[in-house]
Amino acid sequence: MSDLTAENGSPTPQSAGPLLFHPDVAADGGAVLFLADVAATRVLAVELPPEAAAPAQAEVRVEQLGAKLASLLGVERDDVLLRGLAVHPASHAAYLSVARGRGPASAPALVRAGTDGELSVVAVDALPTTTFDLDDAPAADDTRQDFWLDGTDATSQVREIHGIELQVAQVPLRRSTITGLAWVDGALLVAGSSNEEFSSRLRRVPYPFDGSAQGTSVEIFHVDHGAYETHAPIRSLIGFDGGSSVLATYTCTPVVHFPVADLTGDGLVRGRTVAELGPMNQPFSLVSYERDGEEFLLVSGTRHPLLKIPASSVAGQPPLTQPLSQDATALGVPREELDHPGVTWMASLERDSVLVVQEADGDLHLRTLAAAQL
Amino acid sequence: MDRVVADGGAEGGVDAEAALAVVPAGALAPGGVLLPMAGAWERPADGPAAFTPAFPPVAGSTYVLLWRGDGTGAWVPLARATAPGTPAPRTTRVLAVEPDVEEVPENLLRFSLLFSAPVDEGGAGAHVDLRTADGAPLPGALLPMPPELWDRPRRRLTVLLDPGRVKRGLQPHVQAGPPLPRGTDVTLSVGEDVRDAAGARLAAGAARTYRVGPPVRARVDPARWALSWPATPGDELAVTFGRPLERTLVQRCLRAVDADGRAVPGAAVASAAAWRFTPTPGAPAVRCLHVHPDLEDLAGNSVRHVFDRDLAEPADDPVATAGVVLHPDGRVVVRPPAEPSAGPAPDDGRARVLPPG
Repeated sequence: MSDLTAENGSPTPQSAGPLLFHPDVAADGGAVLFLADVAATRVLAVELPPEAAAPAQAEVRVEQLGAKLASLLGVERDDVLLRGLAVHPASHAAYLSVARGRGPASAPALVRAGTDGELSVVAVDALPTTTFDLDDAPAADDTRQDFWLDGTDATSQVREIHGIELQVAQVPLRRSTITGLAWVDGALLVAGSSNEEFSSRLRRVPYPFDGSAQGTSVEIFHVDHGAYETHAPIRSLIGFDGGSSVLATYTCTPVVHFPVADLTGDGLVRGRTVAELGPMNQPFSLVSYERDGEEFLLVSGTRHPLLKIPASSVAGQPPLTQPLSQDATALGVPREELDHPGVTWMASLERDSVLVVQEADGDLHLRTLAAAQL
Repeated sequence: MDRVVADGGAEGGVDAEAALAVVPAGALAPGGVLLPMAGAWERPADGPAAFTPAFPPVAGSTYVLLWRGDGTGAWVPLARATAPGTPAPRTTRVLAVEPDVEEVPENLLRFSLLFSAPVDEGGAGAHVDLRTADGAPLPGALLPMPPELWDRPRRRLTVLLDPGRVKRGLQPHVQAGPPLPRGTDVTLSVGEDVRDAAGARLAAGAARTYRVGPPVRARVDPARWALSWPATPGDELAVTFGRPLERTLVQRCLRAVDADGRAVPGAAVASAAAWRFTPTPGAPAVRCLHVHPDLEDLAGNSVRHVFDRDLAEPADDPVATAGVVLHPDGRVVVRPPAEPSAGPAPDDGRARVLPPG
């Protein structure tokens, strides 16, 4: 595993994870990109060099994205895994977080796809970067050794502590895997799941990073059809309704809605289920877009098809309380299935267009879907 | 092979980046696309051009040097080279498949696999399989998505059963039923094609068979545990749980505490069924046992919550607490929430080793 800090002192990511742009753009087109480094359990904020504004109605299109990434990154097709997607707020270039290679050759890569269709690698370690460590990450300079005294662990070793020999093993170091980033109500929301207990780890982190995170005591629940209440790790989330609410997907199937005010307090927060997907289909990505002046929500799943939900019905949707039924169509807000098979990653390009990663013909493709097609 | 050096045929004044490129061999195969590898070319006025790739070459992979003359037109392969490296030895094994029990509840939430060395992240999940004892697949029983749930050293992988099917209140449960068929045997297996951090496959796969019993839908209640307190200081404190619990959380959530509220140093052995603690010689006497409320059983029920709480069932009501304290006289104290802890911080998972005496 490489050192966390490159020679110029800038922290380098150890792994590829979700991406998100800070919504503000400097006058010269400079933007800040948040990268989730799952292996290091930290979020990096990278100041990208200025980019020129995109022409109106700019599209991003890269056919055979998988094959091109493999060649660009010097690996076979199977050794390229997409882990995040975000759109530059000024130039509308697509930024891709890619896990490249296996074993000793593995590395995270940040790849830019311009509106001209050209792919290039972004050298993150050459850019000004600040970091935020999630609170269960041990500090790099923490010289304390935390032990569990357990002679039976295969990795335990004999250590001498104050003249006594003890068989010690290290406390299993749990890890929060970062699954989603969102910018809501002026702060960064970081969602993740622990590998040990089944609960949400949702943090609200101010930027510029000042070492603090708020709202860590929020526990996320949902009520299913008025009958059962469960813990629900959030997988991904977006701001909605002009920033006054949040739409999120859970590790199980529902898509839920929270007022932002709920996420800044303490205690329990119960998301209101607005849609449920069927078995063996987990929600993957959420975006909102506008068509003919009306806002819609688009939900992609690990299986097809793409779902389209009018935003107005999300706001007015009472919690799903009707009894469960075998009929999969009676599942909350009115929704429409769209004929765009194989869509997984999605990001907003303009208000009336959506950037998607679509599987087709044995490869991945980066395509722009206009609102008129949705 | 850190760099590719191209010597000969100096094209005076031609930009190396336009005229030369290196690609992996797969880019020239069917289904591949030729895009020059990311990296930096050096083209000194005299002498060979040299290319340093942005990412390390993959040991054993073949790379092709291409040329296209004046910078336009078709690329022509000039040479091929294979990055050296011997395949890493296959030494990584599966040390354990957990839970370490014979019977699991129908609403089991997760399995865990413990490997003997760090494993490459991102590919292991594809090689974990759950089947009936007859070998028939159980489609959709395991949650397939990334990201994988690893511990920090990447030696322990947690695989969830699809929570959408475990939870009673969701469509997937209604339509597809719970992931595990009650009253039968299921086998969890991990294939040998999992790659470790050195890139080698496992020395061998592993499998474990479980019987599926009735679901467990109740909070973890420390008051129901059987405790054997040390008769004299220095003796063992033994705790037997009423039903199997999640082992790593047992290690993290139980703490023997002395009269000053500090953790007693000693050796603890944790399993799904029991926790046994032996203080180090000369350590302060054990006064009580602290249980952190995050402790979960195999179905995800914790001290505070039933995993999928039936709102119509009063016994399922959650308990708001900062932790439970068990005393040798049988008292069970449920500490109120957000009480400042007089003892070690329970939530950061760090058991401090205190010097004896």
